Amino acid sequence: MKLHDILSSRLPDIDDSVKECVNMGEWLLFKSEDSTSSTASFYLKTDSKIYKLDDRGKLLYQVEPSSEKIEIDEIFYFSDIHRPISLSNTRLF
Amino acid sequence: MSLIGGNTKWVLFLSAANEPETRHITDLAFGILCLEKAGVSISDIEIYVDGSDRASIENFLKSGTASQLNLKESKDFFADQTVNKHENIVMFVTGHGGPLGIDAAPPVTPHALLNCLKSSPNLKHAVVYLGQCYAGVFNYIGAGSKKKDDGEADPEIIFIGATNLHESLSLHTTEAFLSGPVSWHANIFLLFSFKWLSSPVDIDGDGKFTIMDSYKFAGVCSNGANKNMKTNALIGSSDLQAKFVAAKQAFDANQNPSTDLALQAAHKNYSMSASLLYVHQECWILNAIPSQRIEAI
Repeated sequence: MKLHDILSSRLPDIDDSVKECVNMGEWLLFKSEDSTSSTASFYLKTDSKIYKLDDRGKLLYQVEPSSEKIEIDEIFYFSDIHRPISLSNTRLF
Repeated sequence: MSLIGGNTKWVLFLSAANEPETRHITDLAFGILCLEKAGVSISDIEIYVDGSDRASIENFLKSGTASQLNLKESKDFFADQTVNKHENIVMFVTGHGGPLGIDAAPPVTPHALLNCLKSSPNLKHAVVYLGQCYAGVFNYIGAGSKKKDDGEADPEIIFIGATNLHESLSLHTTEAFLSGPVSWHANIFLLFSFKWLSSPVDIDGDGKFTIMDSYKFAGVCSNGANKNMKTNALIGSSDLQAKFVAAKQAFDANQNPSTDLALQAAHKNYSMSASLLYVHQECWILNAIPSQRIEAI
């Protein structure tokens, strides 16, 4: 799995709350090769839906799972937005 | 007798009636990372994960290992156990749970798992870490070793539950995987159980790294993290509430897919934080006496 850090300004049309969800690891921002054009596009996976985004992060449409096969192999986080601390390395006692 | 040095099968188990959540797959990826760091060979690790997108599941798991993976489904675990050749099994269960057992089609009931382990040929010891919600439904069953009809002892089973008859806690964390830092909503009891294996602590000072040490370590750390996160959740809740209210007003003023998505995200952040304040987690261990002498390392 490839991980990428990008500035939040790279995808200006994504709302800040969505970016926070992504950085918490709740929702997934990822790229996948577009089956129709062989270019990689941004997708957003929420609890129950997958949305295709344009190159500025604007929501294009909701993906129907049966219509598109989307493999998740590149995940994105925002380098200038808070991410959770490491619990396994936090001294708790 | 040490589990890591002995004839042990290490099982990472994620069953699902529908599709598994990526956070649960990431729990197991962290597990592979810690097990290999602890010296467990990938050939002794069996991974059983349900779900239709096998390629993405494997990609998530590969963030925790450079080794070749042989991914199976949850039903294969029960088939594999009928021809078991290992003396010991250590099993980690993540995913969803309910009053009827571990989420699967059909659910894995306490007696289905117990009977599977008890009837596994060659098996002497089994330790099962149950991370799912309502793990307590697996408590108070006949796990201890007993004489069979032929006079031989059946396997000694130890069940360890992340929580009793409550939902199980997941907290946001960022951990260093082989691919880089990964953030996810992690099952904290399993997180600390895996962490203990890779960096063992002799909690009770008997000079050994036993399963009981892993239980106490994971329990103390989970409870400590829980208390800290609840405190932070309360402190941050007013800010998240303000963002949620603003997102609601923006959606009401201009209803479109983008404002709807922003509202969903604001609600997600706010409700996740609020729900933390109401989840209680208390771990348990069934068949504790053998766990005091079974050494992991």
